[in-house]
Amino acid sequence: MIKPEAFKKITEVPRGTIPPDPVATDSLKGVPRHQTNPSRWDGSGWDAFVGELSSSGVKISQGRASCSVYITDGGGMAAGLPRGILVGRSSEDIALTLRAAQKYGVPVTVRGGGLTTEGESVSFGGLQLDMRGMSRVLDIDGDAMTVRTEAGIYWHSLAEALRRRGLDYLSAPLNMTASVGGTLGVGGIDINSPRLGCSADQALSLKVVTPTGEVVECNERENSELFERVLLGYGQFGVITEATLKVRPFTPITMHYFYYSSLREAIRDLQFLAEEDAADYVGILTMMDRAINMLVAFDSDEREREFFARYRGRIRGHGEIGFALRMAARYALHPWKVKEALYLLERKRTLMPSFSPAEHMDGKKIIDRSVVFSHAVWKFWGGRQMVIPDLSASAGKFSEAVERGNEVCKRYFPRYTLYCVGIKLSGDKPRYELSCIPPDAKGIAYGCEFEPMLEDRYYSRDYLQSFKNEIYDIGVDMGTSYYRFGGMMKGYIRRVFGDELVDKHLAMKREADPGMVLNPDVIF
Amino acid sequence: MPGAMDGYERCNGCGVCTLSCPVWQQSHDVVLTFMGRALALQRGAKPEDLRDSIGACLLCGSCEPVCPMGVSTVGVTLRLRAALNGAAPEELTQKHAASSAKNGAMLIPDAALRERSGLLERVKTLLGIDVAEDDGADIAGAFEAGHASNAQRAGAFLKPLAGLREVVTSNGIFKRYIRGVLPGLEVTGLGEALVRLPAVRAALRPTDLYVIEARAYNADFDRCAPFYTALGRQTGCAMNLDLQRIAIPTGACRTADIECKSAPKIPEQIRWIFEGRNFQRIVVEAAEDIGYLRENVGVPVLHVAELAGAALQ
Repeated sequence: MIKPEAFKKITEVPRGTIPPDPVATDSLKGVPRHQTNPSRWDGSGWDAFVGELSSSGVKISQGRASCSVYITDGGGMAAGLPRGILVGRSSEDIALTLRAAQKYGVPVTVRGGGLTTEGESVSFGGLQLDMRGMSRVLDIDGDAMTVRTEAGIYWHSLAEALRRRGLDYLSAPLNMTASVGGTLGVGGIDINSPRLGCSADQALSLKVVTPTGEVVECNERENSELFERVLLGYGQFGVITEATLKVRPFTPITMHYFYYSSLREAIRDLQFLAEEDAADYVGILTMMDRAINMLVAFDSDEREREFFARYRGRIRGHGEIGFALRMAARYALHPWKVKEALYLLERKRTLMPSFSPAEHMDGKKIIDRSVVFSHAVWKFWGGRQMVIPDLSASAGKFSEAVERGNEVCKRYFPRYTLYCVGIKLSGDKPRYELSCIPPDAKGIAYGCEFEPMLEDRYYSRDYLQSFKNEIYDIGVDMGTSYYRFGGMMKGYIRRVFGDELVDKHLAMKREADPGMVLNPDVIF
Repeated sequence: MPGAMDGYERCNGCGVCTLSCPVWQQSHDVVLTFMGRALALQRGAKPEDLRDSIGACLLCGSCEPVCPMGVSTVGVTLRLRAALNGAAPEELTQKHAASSAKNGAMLIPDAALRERSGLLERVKTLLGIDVAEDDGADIAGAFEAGHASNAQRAGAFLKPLAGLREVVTSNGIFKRYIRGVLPGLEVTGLGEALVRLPAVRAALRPTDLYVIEARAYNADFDRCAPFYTALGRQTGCAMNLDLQRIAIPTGACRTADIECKSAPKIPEQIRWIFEGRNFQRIVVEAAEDIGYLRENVGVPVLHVAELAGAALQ
């Protein structure tokens, strides 16, 4: 328990400057610690803010029941309550809102799908800007193979519109209810990211409302600095209201599974296949470190044939029967672990059919894989709390990072899942600075999520936070990055990226957002 | 209300239920969706606080099959309506024992089908079953609106059904209602019953858009999704199914007299069903869809029962 006297050492600083880090650099290692929510904004200026917007035709909803819908995010551990909600319907309305927010000092927290896990999309007493009001697909260009969409749209809804024209997006998170704009601000990792990169790298052009309320079109040639700051920018440098993205012809996929009992071997094969571009989709999904499954999938029969001809013999993964025999032998020699064996069997029995539901199968091909995978993710890994710390590492560090994280998982939870994917990089882009892309990654980066199966057990917030801290401490020790490092985990930003880089971005943030009103307490 | 809104507490805010929701499709206001209601209830809201959201719902059931937490989303919404109207939930879940002693089937038509006497006769002939004298329209309306159903009236309606093997209904909400009160009775949507007939199925064309009656389909998703997926593959026709294989409603299914400014607009729903699809003919399962679709498109619109007639001609 933190004694009240400790708080007296923290100096009060006015909004607009970065307060001292509430946690010293040496206080995290091995010490279970309660990470608090940011303090609630005191509401000064709120009435004038609402009044000014109302007179401009922008209506803020302030009903208690409506506001309560936004109390937390996908992680379920941060708890805030907005004073009001704006469902954004146009760039112009959002521009008016941000100008007023600067004027009255009102914090504005932006939410798309709300699938953050560290409170990044939770408003602590300010305005919640729900971008899902901007969900129209504006134009699909089958010749240029691009789509222009409002950025609050769910990836799934975008897929619906594209599918009607035989098209698909390139890569997107496995969760259907992530929003395009939110994803572009964080990265967006799919199991085809080793081949196609993250979702943010699919963006060709954006319409952005800056923190001071300018509406700007930006891309690699026009307002390119803003373009690079907003992509992978965690919502610090503007609100993405529209995006032009690459698209491709829709294809069903054929999936194969290879089983491992060694994490190291599986990771080695994952990296091999990614570097060889041997598959269209490749990732690792585990049940603890006992049943390790490498998923390998193809958009075409030709790629599938090539894989089996050139690469199958060079990876160590077993087929289902071979792996089952090995597991049977293992548990025969370790009979005291029979409960674990039964759990894995039951898990396989319930989980595997969800990857091939009849209405989404055409022979052996999966149709609308995003629906299939996302349904499975929510059904088997979803809950009112989601704890998903991760590590994002360069190729040379990845195996060690995963193994160290695995050991942490074993200490804290009887059941957990690891999910590993690669992320192809598009050269050396400014957007990768202070992002989920580790600074030392060249050509490809790798990420691993460590997700405990909370099931029906109750874990205190301290316990879950301690677990996350230990995973993140590995990142500090090894010099990796993270996919999720904001919100309640923002104490790690300086530790991982260093003062020079963080202060550089803080200076850019202060220039772009003088009132520090846009998505406060996410990064800065 | 203990037990009255069972299940909402399991909502984890994933939002998957919104993806197929017509209210979400048109409003993009999460407070008007099931997820919004569930999250608000978790945080202390009362049904009165959610009146607009509760009233907007079409009860199309698009949300229920896809909920990863297995929440009975339609059940919760019905109970919320009942709570708003002061109806005791017990009355709505009154059960009657179904007798399995007799064989036999009966058709319960909805008002739209009853109004089309020629079409109704064709359905009777095709299915070879009797039409229920009592179509229970008032009971369906009360159920949908959340009003208490008079026990005597409900009993009179249900009594002839209790001895049947199967009920076929064109009123999609009855699939849910009758299954709730006569759990042993097989309840089939009219569209499904008709399209199982070889003569009807054979008349479907790859250039057709087949509009499934959403309430019956979504209420029985586990069984209907594979059936209609196979139908689509066999016939080549397009259907009003989204990527989750949920039937997109036209919005015309709403029969209860519920005033709600946030309810989905039928023309918008129809526009979404048509979006990006090419077709030369529309075949519908619900008679109430015929008029709305004819207003919005310049191709022939047939009821599925008319397919057999077209083939035989």
